[in-house]
Amino acid sequence: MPSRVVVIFAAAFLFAGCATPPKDDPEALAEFEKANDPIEPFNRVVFDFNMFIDKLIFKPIATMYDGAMPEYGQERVHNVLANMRAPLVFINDALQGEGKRAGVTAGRFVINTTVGVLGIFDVAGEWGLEPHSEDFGQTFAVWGAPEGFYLVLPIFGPSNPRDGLGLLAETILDPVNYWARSENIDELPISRMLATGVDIRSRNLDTLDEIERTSLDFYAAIRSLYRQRRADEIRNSRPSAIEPAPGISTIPNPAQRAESAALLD
Amino acid sequence: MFAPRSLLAVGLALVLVGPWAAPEVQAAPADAKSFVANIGERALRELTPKDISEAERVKRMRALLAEAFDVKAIGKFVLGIYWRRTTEDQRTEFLKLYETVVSHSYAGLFKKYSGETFEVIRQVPVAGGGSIVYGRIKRMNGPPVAIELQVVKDSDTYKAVDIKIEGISMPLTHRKEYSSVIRRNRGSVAGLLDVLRKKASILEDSISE
Repeated sequence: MPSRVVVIFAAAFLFAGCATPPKDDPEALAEFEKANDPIEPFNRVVFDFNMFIDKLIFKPIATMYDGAMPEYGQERVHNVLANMRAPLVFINDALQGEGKRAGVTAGRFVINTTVGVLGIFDVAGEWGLEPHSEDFGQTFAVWGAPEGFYLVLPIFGPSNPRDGLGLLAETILDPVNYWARSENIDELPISRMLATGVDIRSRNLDTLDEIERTSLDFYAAIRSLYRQRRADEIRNSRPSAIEPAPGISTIPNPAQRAESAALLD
Repeated sequence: MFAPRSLLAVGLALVLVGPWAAPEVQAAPADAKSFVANIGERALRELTPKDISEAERVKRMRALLAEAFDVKAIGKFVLGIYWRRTTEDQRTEFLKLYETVVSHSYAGLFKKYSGETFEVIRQVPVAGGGSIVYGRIKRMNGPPVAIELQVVKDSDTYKAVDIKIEGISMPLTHRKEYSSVIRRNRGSVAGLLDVLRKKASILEDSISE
């Protein structure tokens, strides 16, 4: 079955091929290159496939969950899942040399697992240890690995080779899953993955609907949102060196503007 | 900076007088920070009530957009390289349609909020003028939402030229999206305007019932 899926996507790739850059228009070509999406036709096929599966399966399940489970319960489920992710976040904090953040994550895990009853209650958050997330894709970026091209993964959605590799590393190296396998609790990794999927999708029901409703090109909007969000996560929300400025008139120097625009992309 | 107490008094007065009378009594904000604090509070107060119609919500968002944002500068940024390739008539139409789509979009995003508060954290000057104000929407449940507004001084008041939510710039997202639409319409801005016109009319129809 998985091999059949691979064949379908290989065929889609061959049929869809590569994007056609606007070669005769240097400015438009520069814009095109900044979108970083050389295999756009293929990505659009996978994106449409994902949207189809989402409307058929994921969205209805998430909507049902959102309707049946009170907000209080949803928060508890989210807390438990977030707590199970903490060891992974800790490893990535450490690998990025973020000692203080690693300390916060470790403290959160210890407090929430014990006082917070297996993570059900975010006690650490109330004590001032605010949560944050990290993953291997971000760690690779901090280490200097380039983003690569934009890539829409089947089911998992927006990504790039760097984040894709991060996702793979995560499934293999996640400490909680590792522990579960060694203790022969094989149901944990899979049920955790499904629960995480439902949790993420249900938390984004309104926002995604809203973006789809008001966008002219949903695919391009999601592509830009994903790339900006990842860049922000990699910087840990610290401001970038040169701030982008839609108030073009406020930056007098065109060279500086070009530089900031390039950084931005 | 000089008179936090009087700022507080102005803020308090605005809250007490309420959203309807606010535009008439609104004094020019003393600095970018208080300007952003005012927009944030006003957005949450006016756009989140559950008992108003969608048409009213969009109308309020449209007013806020026109008053607090430099829509022309943002529109120019969104069209990017294509701004110079458009006629004056096309620009006027683009700005009008863009304003409509953005009003619907933000009104929709605020609709799901209730009980949130807005707080301004700090203000950082930007090279070339203006400043970036960092703030956040604090929620009852879940982590706060980081908001960044880049504002420039506009005679006796301020105008926002960029808004970032959780590090995502809305104008930049539109620029990327719209340039994709133009490219898929063989580089034609007229093609983008066609798509925008259709979208704007669908959105307007959705609130007219």
